[in-house]
Amino acid sequence: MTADLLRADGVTLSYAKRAVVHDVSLELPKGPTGVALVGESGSGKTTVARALLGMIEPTSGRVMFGEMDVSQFSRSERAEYRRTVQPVFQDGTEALDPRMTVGKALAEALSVSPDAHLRGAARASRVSELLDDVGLDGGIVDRLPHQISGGQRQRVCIARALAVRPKVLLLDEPTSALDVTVQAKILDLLRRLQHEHSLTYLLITHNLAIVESLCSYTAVMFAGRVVEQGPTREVLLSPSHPYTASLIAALPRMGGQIPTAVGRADVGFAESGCSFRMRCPIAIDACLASPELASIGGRHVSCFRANDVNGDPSIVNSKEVTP
Amino acid sequence: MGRYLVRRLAQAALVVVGVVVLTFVIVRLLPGDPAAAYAGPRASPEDLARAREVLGLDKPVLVQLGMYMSGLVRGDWGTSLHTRLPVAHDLSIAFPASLELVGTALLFAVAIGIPMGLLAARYFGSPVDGGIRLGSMFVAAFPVFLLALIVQNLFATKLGWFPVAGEYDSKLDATSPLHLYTNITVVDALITGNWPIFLSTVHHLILPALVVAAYPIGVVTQMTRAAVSEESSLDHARLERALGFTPGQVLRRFSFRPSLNPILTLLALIFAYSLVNAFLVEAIFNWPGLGKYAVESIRSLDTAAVAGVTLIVALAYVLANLIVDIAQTFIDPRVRLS
Amino acid sequence: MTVDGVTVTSPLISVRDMRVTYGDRLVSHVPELDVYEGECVALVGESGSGKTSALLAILGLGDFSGATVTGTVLINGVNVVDAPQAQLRRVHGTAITLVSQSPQAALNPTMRLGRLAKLSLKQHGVRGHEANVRIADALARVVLPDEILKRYPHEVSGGQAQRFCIALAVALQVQCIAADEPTSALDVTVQAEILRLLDELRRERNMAMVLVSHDLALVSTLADRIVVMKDGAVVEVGSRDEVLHSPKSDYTRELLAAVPVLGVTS
Repeated sequence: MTADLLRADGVTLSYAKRAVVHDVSLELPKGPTGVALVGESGSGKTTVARALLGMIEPTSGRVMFGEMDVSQFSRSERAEYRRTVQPVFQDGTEALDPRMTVGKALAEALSVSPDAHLRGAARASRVSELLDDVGLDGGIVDRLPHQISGGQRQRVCIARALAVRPKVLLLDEPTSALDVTVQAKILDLLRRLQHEHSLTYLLITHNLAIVESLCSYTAVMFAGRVVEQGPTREVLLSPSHPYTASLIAALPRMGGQIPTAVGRADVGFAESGCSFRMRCPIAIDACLASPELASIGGRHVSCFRANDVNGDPSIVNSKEVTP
Repeated sequence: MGRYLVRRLAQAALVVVGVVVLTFVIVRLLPGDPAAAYAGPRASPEDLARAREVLGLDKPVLVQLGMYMSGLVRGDWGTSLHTRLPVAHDLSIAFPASLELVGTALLFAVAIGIPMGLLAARYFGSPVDGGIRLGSMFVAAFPVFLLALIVQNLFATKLGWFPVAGEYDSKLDATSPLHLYTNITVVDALITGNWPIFLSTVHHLILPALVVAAYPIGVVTQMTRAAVSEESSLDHARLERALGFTPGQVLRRFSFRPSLNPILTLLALIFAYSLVNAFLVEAIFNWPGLGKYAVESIRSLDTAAVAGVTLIVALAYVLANLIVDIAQTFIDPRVRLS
Repeated sequence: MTVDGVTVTSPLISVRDMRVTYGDRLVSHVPELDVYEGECVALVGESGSGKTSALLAILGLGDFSGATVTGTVLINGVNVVDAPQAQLRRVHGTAITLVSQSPQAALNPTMRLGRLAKLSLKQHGVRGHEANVRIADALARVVLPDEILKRYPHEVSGGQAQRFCIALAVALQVQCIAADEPTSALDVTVQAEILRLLDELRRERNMAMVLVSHDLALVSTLADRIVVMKDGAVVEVGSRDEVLHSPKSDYTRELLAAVPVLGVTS
């Protein structure tokens, strides 16, 4: 329990009395490791991440930083926590100040880091160390964000996050704005950094294929709830929740058939009972009640038919859809 | 929609209160002593004290503000020093005349500026576009008083196509007297079917209204051009082309409506600006509007009248903005959400 | 057309030496490409490869972004590269139309979907009862309720907006859909729905498709032929199997290797 760096404990977030995130519990252990939050847009994964980052306060439940409740922090504790948990966003163009050179951006980050006392040559060597860490040439310090490529910008963002010596990186769709060849290189870099700096990653993505290389643990969210969570290989390779199965079935595979569309995404979600039942191809009458997030083997699943899915994604192709 | 309206009205009310306070403060900062002006040049110290009492100048500032505000609400906008009449009464005559002039000018701006802007957007980057852009910059930048003098000299004095000055031929007051409802001559003449005065007013209106319209025509042309060509470069215009609509159709049927919102916002701004910009034109064409009244009021340190003019211009501006905001919700369905 | 007793279908789209330039900069060059009825040809590449510029030029909309297009693109006997507006009406919305990347932005924000559908059909001489029937049939085909016609674009989901754009193509009975990253703004589950729909239309109506995408895995499920582009040039053209299994260019191999695959940690 105490080994966790950061923990969401039954976090619920409501806007205008509607819960957009419902009773989410998630543990981020000490690195090197990674936890992925996957799900479609509007599933609440970004909201959960923002709560973990302390950017929003849960309506109920707690976010724990080690032994401390994040909402009870003093000003200095909050600053320390903000430093420990660093975000890296999708688009380096928006995350970087367009008028600030790469060197300036890094120097600014250093000024709030434990290395803030460094001056002159020591500071310059720390900057070049950071650039080196993310595979950038020292000559880039004088460039502005628009003068470098998308992949380089994302590397600068990562270097800037590393500058404050964080323990957790929140990676919010870190490669989805990048070309695939660049994406592959950024993933390699992130994997290396994860081990070299013992980092914990919280990865938010819709791209299931990149999850495995960075995260050993995965939580699948649907309509504000975690419907399945567990070790990545188990969850993504032998799903137990029909929603996870449908996500996997929808992935286009190289040279494969047209991916399978399960149900219709625009039917929305049920307000009561299992929120996925309207889209679920194997829903039964029991699904009118709310399933608990129950432990099955090494994972947690909220589905009455989890044992029927039992790692067989093709079950979502079955025709037994109840109207 | 309902909530949007309520919020918008509340905002407008807040702005009005702010303007009232501001006019009160500004008027107090004006040089000169209104009591001295009220009491006359040969007033004794006793006369001055009495004037101070009558004008409420001996009371604390906040009390004076309270008196001022409650008076405004009751329709008591104070008494003008130079006309010796209630300011509200003076404004009820001068403001409609200005509204008539500026309203007509804005009609010209819309009727000329929007088609010009559309034409420029359609032939974006071509000589047609270049010509329109140059022309619109020229009319917008031309000093209004100079334009007024040139136009008056050429079309009225030299060519005699239009009357030189005035709102309508005053001889008509005897032959076909005008019944007043709105105090806007052209409207009253129209609704009462008083054709001689209507035609005479329109004839008198054209030159000064065109002069006032010069700047609005220029900026409306430029804004229409910019907004429509921007809209025509968006994703939806590409789909519309791919569906088989010609570039001209895309412009008129698809890009114009989403571009109307910035144009309307601009019109509201121009309206308030033109009310004041028209002061000089009114003076040159001897138009019985706010301009003449404002100049007289300032010259005679007529604080109540100056405050009244400031306030009515501000009110007109707030109202114009409110109307535009409401109109926008009908034009663009996305506005209803925010 | 019959040559020596053998039926030869002429291509629906025939591209020859098409060059797209901005000023002096060549952004896209397609030496030769034919698209036949019922065929899906995909243009694949990374950003800056010129694939979208090529698609727009093929559509005859090169002028839209201020590009200069040279060469020939024959659609229905019309060279869209330099055809006058009157001739383009025989191409746009008749032979070919567009399905865009961000479906909601592709629909006019101030127009109800129903009005756009009606105006589009009217533009091609279909009015009144026939227009209504065609719209209703097209909506049924893409599985959207009629009620959607009363909505504005911001009132529908991305998936619904994309279905509606496809319904426009169905109602107009175009022979070819030009799809510019049609699913990259959508969730993976919605993406699967749209891909299915496009594939079904192709089989049912013999519709051709020119598909632009950065996603090689996606393309490989739908395309008959794949054109790989890089820095404005075509680096490889071949059938799907040729490109996937025996790529000739190093770049194609690099691209194939970079695609992450679920269950294979590199």
